[in-house]
Amino acid sequence: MRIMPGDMIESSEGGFVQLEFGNGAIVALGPSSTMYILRDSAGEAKGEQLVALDLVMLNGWLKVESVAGKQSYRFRSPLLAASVTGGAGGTVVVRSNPKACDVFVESGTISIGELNPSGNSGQTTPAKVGQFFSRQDGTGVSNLARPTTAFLEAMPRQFRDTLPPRAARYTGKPVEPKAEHPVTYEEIGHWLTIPSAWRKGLAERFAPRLSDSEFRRQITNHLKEFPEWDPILHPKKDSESPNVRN
Amino acid sequence: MKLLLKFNLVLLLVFAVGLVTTGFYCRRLLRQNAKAEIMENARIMMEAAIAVRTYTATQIKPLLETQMKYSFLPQSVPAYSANAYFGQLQKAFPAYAYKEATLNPTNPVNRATDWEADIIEEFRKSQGNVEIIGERDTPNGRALYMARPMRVSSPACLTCHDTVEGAPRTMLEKYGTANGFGWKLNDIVTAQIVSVPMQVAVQRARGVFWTFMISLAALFAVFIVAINVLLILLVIRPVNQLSNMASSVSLGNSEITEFPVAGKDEIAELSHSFNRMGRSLLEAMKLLRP
Repeated sequence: MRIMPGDMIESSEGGFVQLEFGNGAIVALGPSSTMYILRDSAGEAKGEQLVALDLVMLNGWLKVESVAGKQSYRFRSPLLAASVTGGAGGTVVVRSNPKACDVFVESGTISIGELNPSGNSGQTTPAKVGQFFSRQDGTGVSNLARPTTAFLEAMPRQFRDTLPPRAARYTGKPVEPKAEHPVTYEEIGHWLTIPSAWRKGLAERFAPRLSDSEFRRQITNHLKEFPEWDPILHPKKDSESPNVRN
Repeated sequence: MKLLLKFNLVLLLVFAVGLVTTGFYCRRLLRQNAKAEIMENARIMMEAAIAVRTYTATQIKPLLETQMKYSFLPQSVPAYSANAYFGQLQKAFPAYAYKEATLNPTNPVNRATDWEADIIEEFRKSQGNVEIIGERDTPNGRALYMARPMRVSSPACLTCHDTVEGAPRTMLEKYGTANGFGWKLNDIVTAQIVSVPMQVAVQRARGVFWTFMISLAALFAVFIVAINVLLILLVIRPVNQLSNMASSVSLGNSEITEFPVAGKDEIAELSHSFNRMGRSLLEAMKLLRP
């Protein structure tokens, strides 16, 4: 199945998802994981500093194997960000939940950054292969020479191996996703509250769902958590500042 | 001394000499064969160990490379694979053994004992020596050992065995930092030692030897009995009868009948001659009587 920037991917309990990008990068999602493809310009990268792949992860397990080249890759959770800054590529394994995030550097040139609540990272730390970074909500980043036993024991078994490319098997057999039902607030609510720097465009994207009274009621109830919905909910009030939607 | 006794003494002497000579050479040949068999077994074991090591290094280790970043898997180590392989083999053949005896091993299981350390030192002293073969007593009986040196031939080996700082963290987690470091490129650090029990092959050779010797002695015994029977029936008994008849004739007994003649052999010829002589003698005696 072809995926697009802006897609939100969730794996089921016990499920395993593998994504392969045009430049050869492979991303695997472990069980009960949620991920948002903020940007995928792998097929159109030209500049040295271009972030070819920008993934946001809220929950679960993620393994990313990037490829050698000038492109850089970025993987973010609400607490930590990991960037592969080109060169020989790199591989990281991330475990994330709203209260904690762990990053293991399997290979490559990786830098780790601590994120503030708005989703912007401060100073980044170059990571050595084999290092393990961990951050609990409300604390700083700690790094260890080796991953913890708890992390290794909980990690999906498949992540211990190099992810095998499988896309070639499905060449010429495209699978089109089918629309099941209009999205509900329960399904996207956790994405609407991600750090503000990452959720640009989400309000406009899901604004048509305000026609659903239950969706509108939930948005109205949580308006304090995502104020960018206010001008959409109350367009007259913001008629003097039309740039808000741009 | 009777003819039969003379024959038997000569035959026994010949057979005894033959038996001892055959036994000597047979025993030596069987011992050589047994040793060659033991050596062959040792070589097969050594080559099997090398094959397992190569398989592990070229096929298993690359597959486990990523996993090794998470936890150390000894299955990726050629020495571990070889030991595991022979561990299984030992369940069926407990007297056979294989060890990669090392002076300063990462895994304490591979630490060289006194006599193994001597072998490693011997390899170090004589750099061109590629194999040492010897015998030693073990709890399972006498055993032949074959040893080959293992040299640190690749800088890749030093990744795990040079310094603690440079060693993979996962390996340090499993084996600690105390052993298996400080190896130098081209140093002989290990001896592959295969131990093969001699008892089985030697006992088998001994069994073959005694079976052969007993069979040979039995053959000799049957031969002697057959010779004796033939001698008695074909020579001694007819000669005795002729002798008795001759004695009767010489004592003037003219009533003797002719000696029965059967066949055409030398005894039959002798009997014919004897009967002719008897008849002539009787004719002569009749002419002389008044």
